[in-house]
Amino acid sequence: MLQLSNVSKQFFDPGRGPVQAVDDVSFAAEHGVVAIVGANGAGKSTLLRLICTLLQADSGSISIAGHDAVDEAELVREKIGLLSPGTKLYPRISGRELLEYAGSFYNIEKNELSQRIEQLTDQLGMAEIIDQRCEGLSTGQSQRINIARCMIANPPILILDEPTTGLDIEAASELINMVQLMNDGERLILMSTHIISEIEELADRVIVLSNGKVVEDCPRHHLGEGMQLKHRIRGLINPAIAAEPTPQSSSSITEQSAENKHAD
Amino acid sequence: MQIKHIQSVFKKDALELMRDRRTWFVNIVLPVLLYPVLALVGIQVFQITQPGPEDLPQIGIINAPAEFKELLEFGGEQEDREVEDNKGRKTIIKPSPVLRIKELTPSEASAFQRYLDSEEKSNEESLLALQKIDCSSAIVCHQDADMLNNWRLELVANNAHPDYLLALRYIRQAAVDYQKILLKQRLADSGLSADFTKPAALITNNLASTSESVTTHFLAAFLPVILVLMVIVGTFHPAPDLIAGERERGTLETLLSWPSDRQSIFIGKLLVVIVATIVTVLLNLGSLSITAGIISNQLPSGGNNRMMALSELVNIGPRAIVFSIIALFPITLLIATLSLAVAGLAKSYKEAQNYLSPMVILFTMPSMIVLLPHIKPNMLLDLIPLIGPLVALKACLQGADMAVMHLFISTAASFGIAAMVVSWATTLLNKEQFLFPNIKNISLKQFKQMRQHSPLHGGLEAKLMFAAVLGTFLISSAIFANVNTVVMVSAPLIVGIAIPCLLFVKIGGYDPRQALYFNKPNPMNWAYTILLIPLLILVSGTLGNLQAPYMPENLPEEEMMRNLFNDLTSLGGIPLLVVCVAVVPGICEELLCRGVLLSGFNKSLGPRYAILMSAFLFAAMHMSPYRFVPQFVLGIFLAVVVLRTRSIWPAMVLHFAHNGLLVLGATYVESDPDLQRKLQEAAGGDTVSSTLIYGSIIAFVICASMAAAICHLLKPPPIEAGSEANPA
Repeated sequence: MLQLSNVSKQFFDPGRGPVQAVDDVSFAAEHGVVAIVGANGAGKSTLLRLICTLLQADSGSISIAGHDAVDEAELVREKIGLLSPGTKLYPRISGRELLEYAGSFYNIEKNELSQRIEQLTDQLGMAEIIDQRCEGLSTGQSQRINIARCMIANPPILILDEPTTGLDIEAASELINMVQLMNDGERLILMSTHIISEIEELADRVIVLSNGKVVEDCPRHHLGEGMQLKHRIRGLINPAIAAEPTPQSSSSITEQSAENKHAD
Repeated sequence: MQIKHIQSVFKKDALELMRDRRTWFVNIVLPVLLYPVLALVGIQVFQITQPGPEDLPQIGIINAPAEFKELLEFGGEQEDREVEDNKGRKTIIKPSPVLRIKELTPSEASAFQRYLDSEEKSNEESLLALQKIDCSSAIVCHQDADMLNNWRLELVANNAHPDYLLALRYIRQAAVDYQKILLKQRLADSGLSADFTKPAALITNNLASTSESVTTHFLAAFLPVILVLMVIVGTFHPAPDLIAGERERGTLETLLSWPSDRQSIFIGKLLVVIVATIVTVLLNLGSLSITAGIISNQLPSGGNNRMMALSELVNIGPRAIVFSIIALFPITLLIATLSLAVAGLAKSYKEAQNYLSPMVILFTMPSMIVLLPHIKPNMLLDLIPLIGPLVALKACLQGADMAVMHLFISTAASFGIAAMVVSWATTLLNKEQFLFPNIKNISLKQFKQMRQHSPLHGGLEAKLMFAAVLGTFLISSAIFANVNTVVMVSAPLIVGIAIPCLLFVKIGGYDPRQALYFNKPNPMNWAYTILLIPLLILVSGTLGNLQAPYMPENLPEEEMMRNLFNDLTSLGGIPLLVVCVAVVPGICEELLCRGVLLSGFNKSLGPRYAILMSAFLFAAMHMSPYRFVPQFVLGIFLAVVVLRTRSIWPAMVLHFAHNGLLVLGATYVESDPDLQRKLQEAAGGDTVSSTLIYGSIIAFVICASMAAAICHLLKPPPIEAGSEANPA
């Protein structure tokens, strides 16, 4: 389904100068939930944007369902649903209008699209909000519409870039349930995060990035559970603090709340 | 491009725009209410500011005859006017006073008498006297006691008084009319007719109606400018909202992650801007016409002259409406496309509006050209964006011949230019910096750091270099203008163009093999280059023939070139002529256009745009509208040759041979009047024959196709290790 071979990406960041955001990354994935884990600036978002063709790799190749991400970008985008932290809804249209708009870019018949919208409305509990203008929705409600927007064409790959950013506990929990719902065994869900509980609950496989490089790629259960999982991952991200147990308990690898973090 | 996606983007963006209160205000409410409100305010202000009898300027008179006094009061000869209102009722309007007249008593007049009689004038006393009687001026009238009994009307005025200019206007008119009355009397006394003093008189018989006259002289000039302003108002809200606004609201990333090509997205948004703009303009025009119509109905026809002109002006006929709507499309298309593309560069709605503000001047200033009284459409103007459709619209409103054809040609040209802008905007939407502007927002230090890593400059540096070289070329032309002809022709090219290009590559530390294509060409390429020489000469020649019908006779630049060639030939014969007009330009212009510009644009924009951009700048730098098209086409071929061979040398030889053979041919024909006559006869005499035009089109197509086929055969040299890291 997804194949990355020696993908690298460098850019100039005003604050940091030349940045090697992604450095010779290679991996393949077929289905299940793959968590891309790393500290802020590790290259998670850049990697996901490369996969969904919003950025182009300096070197290496990305192939999705046999299509090249550069030469066949439109075909690749047909296979992907993207949810990134910067994603907002169109304020002046309703959820239904947004879903119809999103669906119009895929080869979906009008009747099929209407059925799909009804199905997603039921699945994601959006009956009360689907006809409201998006500008009046809460963050949690907006995220539900966003998930529905990603799922409108039933894409085989779902890319969730830090999906719980900015959500309260209840909304984050709802979103995790929705991701579980979408993980039907055939779909590949790539999810960047640094929240341990999300990794524990959702991930089948973990890819750890540090300074743009893959430092670990293994099934999630190889990294243990709970505190052990957290310390293993922290150690991979920053070897200097490897295996050093900390008395404080935090759900975040980088000790930052999901609300105030910045995207890579 | 996918129609379905264009429809989706159009439908969604139009819906969002309609639900935005700003759209309703800027594009609907403002145009509808603006003119009635302005008219209402204007009428109120006009009525409030109408002067009452006590507000009229007051002047003092001393010893004025009764007739002159009456003329002063009414500002010249005035007759009763019959006025008909819109219900057909007729009323007689008596002339109303324009000045208040104060007959001065001897004591009040004494200061002015003293002023006029004394040798040493005392301004202060007269000024005080004027102040005292509350007048801006005083007229002291004397009748000479000689045989003619002429009147002297001496004006003593406080020319710093606010009423002075208005009073002076009426006083002058009264004096002129009084002079006419006296002259008439004098002629009658002498038994002569009143026409005795008019041995020749101009009698004007106007055949067209006032409405037609107003359309030609007023409406035709101003309506195009008004249309441009209305279009700008129409684009001002949607253009920044649809791309920059979407980026600001955080929805652009989602849109670009959907499976649609960027062109469809841009065109969908462009259509929204165009429709919103056209609706705004039509509402503007409708509101303006209705308001003006209501005002004109309120005005009595045949009354005051200025009012009559206004009521005639608003009589916009169906012809003006149809042409305005046709012209609206190219104007809107061009302004909307450019505004949307430029606004799309901004990160927010506000920033986009800042980008658009200077564009208001950019669009408005050139449109003022239609106000020139003698401007008429021609093939060259048709191709100029914005100006072409506006001049054609003016000609259409004036009912000029072929104006409709020019309107359609300029519309087609605007579509072509808009297509180029759409193409550029699509390229922009494809760039990752467009979506994530911060990732390349680099400092000057980082820019230098990047440049050091690169053996080749980019498009930005190429553009800056072109501007700099243009400056050095013009300065050196001015410096060497008064030296002999050889230096005057060659030195600016060498000092102003070639040396700056070589210094640019040297100081910039760029690789001359990449920046200037200093590579040894494949030996076979020389054979193809020789084959290209006659074909390119024929391409230029046939384009010259096709341009001939549109070229004015006795072009000053042709005369200048002829003199230049004669000077050079007399100084050093044909060899010197060839060196100065073929070899030196061939080397210097190639270093700039096919060296620095082509390589820089090729790196930044890719080969297709690099070829077009370098050819455009090559044609533009010759600063001659009549040589533009042939130079542009030559520039395209030379750029293709350089990119195919990766070497500048064949292009230099081609350029040199092209210029040299054309100049030699022209000199040979010039020297033989018999041959000149025969050639002119063969071409169809003084008028350009249709055979020559069709022949030239066929010859152009054949030669250009053959040249393109030969270009296709050109092969780059085998790449040696390290010879070219970034091949074209």
